[in-house]
Parts: sequence; C-alpha cells; structure tokens
Amino acid sequence: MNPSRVFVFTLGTLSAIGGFIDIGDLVADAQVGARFGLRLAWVTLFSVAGIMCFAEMAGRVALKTQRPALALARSRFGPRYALFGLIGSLLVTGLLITAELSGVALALELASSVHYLAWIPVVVLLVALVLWLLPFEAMERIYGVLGLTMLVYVVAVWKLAPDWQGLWSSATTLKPVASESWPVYLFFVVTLIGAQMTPYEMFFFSSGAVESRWRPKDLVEMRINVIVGFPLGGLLAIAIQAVAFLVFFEPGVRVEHLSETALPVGIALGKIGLVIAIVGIFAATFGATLETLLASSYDIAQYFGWSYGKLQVPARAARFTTVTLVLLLASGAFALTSINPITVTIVAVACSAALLPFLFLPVLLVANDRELMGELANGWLSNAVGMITIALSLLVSVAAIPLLILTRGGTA
Amino acid sequence: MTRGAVLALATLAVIAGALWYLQAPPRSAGAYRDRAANVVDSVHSQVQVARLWLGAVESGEVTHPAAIIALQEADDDAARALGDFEQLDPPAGTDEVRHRVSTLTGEAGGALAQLRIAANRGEWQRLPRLGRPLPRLARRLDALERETSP
Repeated sequence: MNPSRVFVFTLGTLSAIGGFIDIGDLVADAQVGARFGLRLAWVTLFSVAGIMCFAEMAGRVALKTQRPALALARSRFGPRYALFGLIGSLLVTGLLITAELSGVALALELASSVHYLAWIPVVVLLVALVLWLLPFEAMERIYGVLGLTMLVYVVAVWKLAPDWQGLWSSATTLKPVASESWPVYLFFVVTLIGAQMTPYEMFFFSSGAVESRWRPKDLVEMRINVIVGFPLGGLLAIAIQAVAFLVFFEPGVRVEHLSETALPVGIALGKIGLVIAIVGIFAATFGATLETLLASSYDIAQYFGWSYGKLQVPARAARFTTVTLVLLLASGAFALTSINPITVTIVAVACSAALLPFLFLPVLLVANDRELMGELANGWLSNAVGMITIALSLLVSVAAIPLLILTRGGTA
Repeated sequence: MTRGAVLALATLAVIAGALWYLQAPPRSAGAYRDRAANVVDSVHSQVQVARLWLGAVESGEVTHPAAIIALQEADDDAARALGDFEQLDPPAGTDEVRHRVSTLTGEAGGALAQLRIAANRGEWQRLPRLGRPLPRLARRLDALERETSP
C-alpha cells in the first residue's frame, strides 16, 4: 500500500478521536467514574456502536451524493421538520460551543493559574485565527495529533495498578452503587449518551466528507476512520472513567471541575503526566470548539441553501463566514457571563440526548433510499444497529428532561 | 389559537414549572434535611479533593499553577454551598440541623480558605501543617451527612 495513503488513514482516524472526546465527555466520564465506577461503561460501548453506525451512514450518503445528510433530509422531510431539527441542534450545539470555549480556557487556567475568564477573549481570537488561516485538512490534523496525548489516561490506568478483577466486576454490574439512586443512575446513562453520541459529530463528519471531496472510491478510507477512530475515543472515555473510579470513588469525591479530571493522571504519572493531560484537554476541547462551530454553521448554511465551506475563500461564502464569526463571538460573550461551564455542559448533553432520534431518523431513511444510494444503500447490519440505536435513543429522549429536573442535574 | 401557539404555551409552562421546581426552597423538614445532607456531601467532597491535591503537591506529582486553581475551586465551592444553604429558612423543628451543618461546613470552609491563601502566596511549605485538620473534618462531615439524611 502507498505510504501516503496510510498517512491519510491515520490522520482521518485522529480527527475522529478529537470528535469523540470533548468537554462533555471529559466531565461526564469523570463524574460517572467517581460515582459509579465502571458500572456505566456499557453505555459507552452502546454509544460507540451507535455513533459509528450513524457517522458511517452519513459519510456514505456524502460519498455517494456529494451532499451532507442534513441537506438531503430537508428535501425528504420538508422544511418544517428540517427547521425543527436545525433549531434543536443549534440550541444544543450553541451551548456546547460555549462549554468547549470555556474548556479550552480552563485548560489554560490549569497551566497558568490565570483565571479562565481572562483566557476567553484570547481563545476566541485564537479560534478565529485558526479558522481563517488554516486549511480544513491542516486544522483537523493538528488537533487530531495533539488530541492523541489523551492516551495518557490509558497509561494512567495501568500505572495506578488497579485490581483488574474489581474493575471487571464493576463493569459487569448493571445497577447503581449502594449510595446512589436509580433516577441518578439513569440520569447519568442519559448524560453519557448525550455526551458521546452528539449529533454534531455526525453532521461534522458528513460535511467534512463533502469538504474533503471524498468520492465512492474513498469508501474504505471513510470506514477506517469510523471503525478505528470512534472506538479509540470510546477507549479514552472508559480510561477516564477508570482513573476517576480508582482515585475518587473511595474518598467520596464528586467531580465538579476540569482540574479534577486531570488530577488522577498527575497522581499516576507525576508532573509530566499532568502536563500531557492538560495539553490533551486543550487539544480535545479546542478541536471540539472548531467542530461544534463549523457544524452549526454548516447546519445553517445547508438549511438555507447558502454557499458554504472552509475550502472556499471567505468572500465566496460570505454568509457562512459571517454566521461562523457571529456564533463564535456570541458564544464567547455567553462564556464571559461567568455562567458555570460544567453546568452548561451537563444541560447541553441532556438536551442533546433528547434530540437524538429526531436527528438520526432522517439519516437512516436517506441511507436506505436505494434509488438515491444505489449499491451504497444500507445493508442489514447498518439497518439493525441503526434501528436499535433509534429505539433506545427514543427512550432516552423521553426520559432526558424529566430526569434532569427530577435529579437536579444529578446532584440530588 | 393555532395548534403551534398552544404547543409553544404548553412548552413555556413546562419550562417555567421546571425552573420553579429547581429553585424552590424546601418546604418540609424532610426536604430541608435532604438539602442539608447534599450540602454536607458537597463540602465533604471538596475537603477530600483538597486532601488529594495536598498529597500530590507534597509528592511533587502536580504543578503549582494547577494546585492553586484546584484549591481555589475547592474553597469557592464549599463557600457557595454553605452560602446557598444559609439563605434557606429552616422549617419548624430543623433549627438544630441548620446549626450543626452551618458550624461544621463553616469550619471546613475556613480550613480550605487557609489552604487557598497559602497556595496563592506560594507558601507551599505551610500546606502540610494547614492540611492536618482535613482528615478529621472529612470523617466528621461524613458522619454528619449520614445523621442528617432523612
């Protein structure tokens, strides 16, 4: 095989890792690990299977039609349904942009001890510069490679010398620990699904495939990105749950800050480990800021049929560029109100979980359209996993908001 | 009125109800004790986090900027939890709960504030001595949480 092709595969895979681990995962995984051990690791396995299935479907639709899944969904379901999806998705992703921006600032705060609010304008400027100056491919490569430093969490699990039998026992127990109630357990099921199956990952992947000008001949490359990238993200998520369990469960710590997500790595690997973890958190949240921002702008541009994309010069996609800039500034301003970014994250992922089936269903139907998709239409495996994911996400959707209220965001 | 308007009004009513539920002060003794136990649990968690960071600082496992931020967050969270709790009016028969929770969480908050001040001043050699009361405070908070839970 041509070495440059292998390199392309690797870079695409790294971008998928960056898409999976964002502020929502960092917070939710550490919270879950500290309170439930690995008793919710099954949720991560389900989420990985679900997001792999739908990212692959959306990618396949983009390969075949050169159009992102959301744009096709609009023509299939009509503008009203698409508008509902757009507004819902924008509300959640808008909150997530704020949370991701704050996550980058919190990583810089940990590195410098300068308050995170002072970093917000700097981060906004940095994001704007990266979006303006860097080509799409270079952008995803840089944050993808830096995001690989998150593998330090996997090393930390091994260095903390856990009782592997105990970890396995925790992972195979599908009920809450004695100190937690079933509603709180179920709320965290919803939170993890919302954090790990975020629709923006699917939309970004699909729009990114169009941006990268993938064609049906790139099917294998696209599938390798999905098959290797998302499970690697899942591995990192379970590693974060495991280190939080090993360090925080026994003392009874409730994770409420990003600093607590980084601490177990410091305890396991010392200062170097902590610094690598902070670099990883910076890279993951910075990459996720770019993804959420672009995904929101793609959604708006595709709904209204505007010219869009990073590959075009800004003047040729003026409305797309303006929307991106306005979203960035508005999210930065919202973050500067000193609203707690962790609370924003928890609310955003719970709302994201509530929207899942409405955003997944159109993709499933479009990918099943044999007239449109031809030989790239869904097979039985995609349909089976897709249907199961939608059925479970419907349950999650119904339960998400009542559980958020009933458990006061998991604090009850 | 159109169906859309009815739906929008119903959604607004649900949101308003949810916000009221989330912000409403506890009316019964049971709800108040529940809130008190949550506050004690939160402060207990901050004390334990501070202990972990202190241990990591002593062993040279973490950087000072990260430790400064973590100790600041522990102090802020404990102070906020106590402040929010003290604003609540205790229902009849729960004055003793309020007194015990306020006293102990106030003591813990004081200890966390000392740590935060020393870290901000860069007086790292003082931290082990300032952290000595934390294990006992954690045990007392744990016991109080169990006694307070309804």
